[in-house]
Amino acid sequence: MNWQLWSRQVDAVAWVEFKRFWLSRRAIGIYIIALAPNFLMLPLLIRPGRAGMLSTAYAVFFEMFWLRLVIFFGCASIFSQFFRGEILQKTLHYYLLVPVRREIVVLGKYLAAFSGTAMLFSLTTISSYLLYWGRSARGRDFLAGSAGIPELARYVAVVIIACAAYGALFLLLGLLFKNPMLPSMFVLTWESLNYVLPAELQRVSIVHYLRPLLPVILPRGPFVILTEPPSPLVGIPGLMLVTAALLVLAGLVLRRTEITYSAD
Amino acid sequence: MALPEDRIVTFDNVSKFYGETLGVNRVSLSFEPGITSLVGPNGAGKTTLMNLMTGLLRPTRGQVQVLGFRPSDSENMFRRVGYCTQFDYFPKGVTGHDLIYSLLRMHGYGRSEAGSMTHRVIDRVGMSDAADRKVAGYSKGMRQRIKLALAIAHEPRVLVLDEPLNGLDPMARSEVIELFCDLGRAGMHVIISSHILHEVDIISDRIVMMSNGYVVAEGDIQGVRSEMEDHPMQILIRCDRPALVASLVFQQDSVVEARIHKDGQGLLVSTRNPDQFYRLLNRIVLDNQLSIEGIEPADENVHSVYEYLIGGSNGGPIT
Ligand SMILES: Nc1ncnc2c1ncn2[C@@H]1O[C@H](COP(=O)(O)OP(=O)(O)OP(=O)(O)O)[C@@H](O)[C@H]1O
Ligand SMILES: [Mg+2]
Repeated sequence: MNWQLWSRQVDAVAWVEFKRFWLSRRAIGIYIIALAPNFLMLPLLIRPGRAGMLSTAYAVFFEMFWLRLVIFFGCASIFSQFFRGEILQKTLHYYLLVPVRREIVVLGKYLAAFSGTAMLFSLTTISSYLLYWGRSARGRDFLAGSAGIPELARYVAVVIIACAAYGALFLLLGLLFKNPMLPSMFVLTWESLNYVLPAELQRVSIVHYLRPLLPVILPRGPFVILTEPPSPLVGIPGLMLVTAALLVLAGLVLRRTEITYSAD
Repeated sequence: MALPEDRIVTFDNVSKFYGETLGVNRVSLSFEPGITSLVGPNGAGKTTLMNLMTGLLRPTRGQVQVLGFRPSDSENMFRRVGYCTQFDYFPKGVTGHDLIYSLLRMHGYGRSEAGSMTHRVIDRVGMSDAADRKVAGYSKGMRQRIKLALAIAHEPRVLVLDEPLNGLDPMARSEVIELFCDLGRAGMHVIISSHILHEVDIISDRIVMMSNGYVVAEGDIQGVRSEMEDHPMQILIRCDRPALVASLVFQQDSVVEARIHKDGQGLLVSTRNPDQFYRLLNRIVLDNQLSIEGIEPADENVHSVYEYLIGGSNGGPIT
C-alpha cells in the first residue's frame, strides 16, 4: 500500500479538476444559482416586518427551496458533469492513461466537486441567514443571543452533509447515464415524496437522515406515514457510510468503463 | 530465442466485439522490443488493438499482457507505457504545457521535477514556442506533437502510437520518424499504426497487417510481402453438383484447394489465379449444364487489402 503516493495523486487530480471546473465559464451559472437565496432576501430588506421574524419562516425557506431545489439541483448539475462532461467532450481517456488507480481518479474528482460546492453553498447559506435576521433590531438580538449562531451552524452542517451525500450520488449517476437529468428527476421525486412511503423505503433515502439534523423540523403534509426519525448520532455516520459506499461503487464502475467514443 | 514475459507484449487469442460489431477477432501476437507497425485500412482494427493493449477497452475474449502486467493494472502499466491516441480532443481551455505538466503531477512527480520534465519533452518535440498557447488554437500537426510529447514525457519502455504521422508536414514527419528510430534502437517497444505501408516499412523491424478485424500477415517486411502475394484467393460457388465441379477444377494447377460446403449446395475453392479460374469455371458450367446460383469471393478483403497496401506501382493509396 502506497498511501503517500496515492494521497499525492488524489491531490493532483483534485487540484487540476478544481481549477478546470470552478474557474471556467461553466461554473458561472452555478454561482448565480447559489446567490439565489440572497436575492430572495432582498424584498425582505426593503419591507422589513412583512414576513414574520420566525425561525419557522426561515426553516420553510431553507428546507423547501434551498435544500430541496437549489442544493439538490446544484449538486446534480455539478457532480454529474465531472464524468459525463468528460465523456461528452471525449477527454476521459487522459485520466485512464496515467499510472493512477481509477478509484483515485474518482476520489480526486469528487473532492474537487465537493470542496467547491460545499464552500459555495455554505457561504450563501450564511449570507442568506445573516440577511434574514440582520434586517431588524429584533433579529439582530436573536443572532447575538444564545440560539442564533448554533442554529446557523446546524444549517451549514446540513448543507455540507447534503453536498457530500447528494454529490457522491450524482457523480455515480454521471458515470452511469448518458443523460443524468432523467435519473435526477427520479431521485428528486423519490426524495420529495419519500414521507408517504412505507418505513422501510423511507430509510432508502438521503433526506430521511438529513431532516432530523435540521434545527427546526417542519410538520409534514396529510399523508405522512410516521416513522421514528433517526437520531443525528445514527444519521450522520449513516450518511457518511452511504457517501463512502456510493464512491466505492463509482470506483468499480469507472474500473469497468471502456472508452468507446470514436476518434472523429 | 524467446524473451522473458517482462520484455514482451502479448495478445493471447484476443477478440473484441462492440455489441454485434467486430473490432478484432482471435488475435494472437507477441511484440518484442523494436519498431512494430500495425498496418491496415480504415476499420481494420488498429485502434481497437491499441486500446485493448492500454486497457481503454477490455477484451471480449482472450488476454493481453504488457511486460507481464495486465492492462487493467494502470498503476504498473503506465509507468512503463505511453500511448499517443487517435483522439484529437483536449480539455477545454488547456495549454500544451499545462496539459503535460498536470498529467505528470498525477503520476506523482513533484512540482519542480514535473516542471523540468515538461520543458524537456516539449523541447524534444519542437513545441517550445507554442507551449503556453491554448491547445484549441493549435494546428493539427501541433496537436499531434503535443500528444506525442504526452506519451513520451515519462520515458516509457513501451510506446504506443496511433497514426502518429497524421497531419505532420514532411519535415516534421522525418523528425518524428528519426525520434521513433532512436527510441527503437534504445531497446524500447515502439508500436506504430498506419494505413500506408510504405510510410513505415523501412523503419519497422516487424509489420502486422490487419484487415476487417483479423491479422492477415505478420513478420518482417519481406515475409509479409511474400505471404500476401502467395495468399490464395477463396471463392464460394453455389451450385447443384458441387462434387462434380470440385473434381473438374482440380485440372488447374493454380487451384490449391476445393472443399464441398457443409450444406452440400456449394463448394469453396482456393486459387492463386482467379482470372484463369473464372474462365475454367465458365467452360465447366457450359459443358455440364450446371445451374449456378452464385459466385462470390469468400475473403476478398485480403486481396483488396493487398492491392490497397502493396499493389500499384507508384506508391500507396490516396488517403
Ligand atoms: N465504439 C465503437 N462502437 C462500435 N463499433 C466500433 C467502435 N469502435 C470501432 N468500431 C468498429 O470496429 C472496427 C475496427 O475499428 P478501429 O477503429 O479499431 O479501426 P482502425 O484500424 O483504427 O481504423 P482507422 O484507420 O479508421 O483508425 C470497425 O469496424 C469499427 O466500425
Ligand atoms: Mg484507428
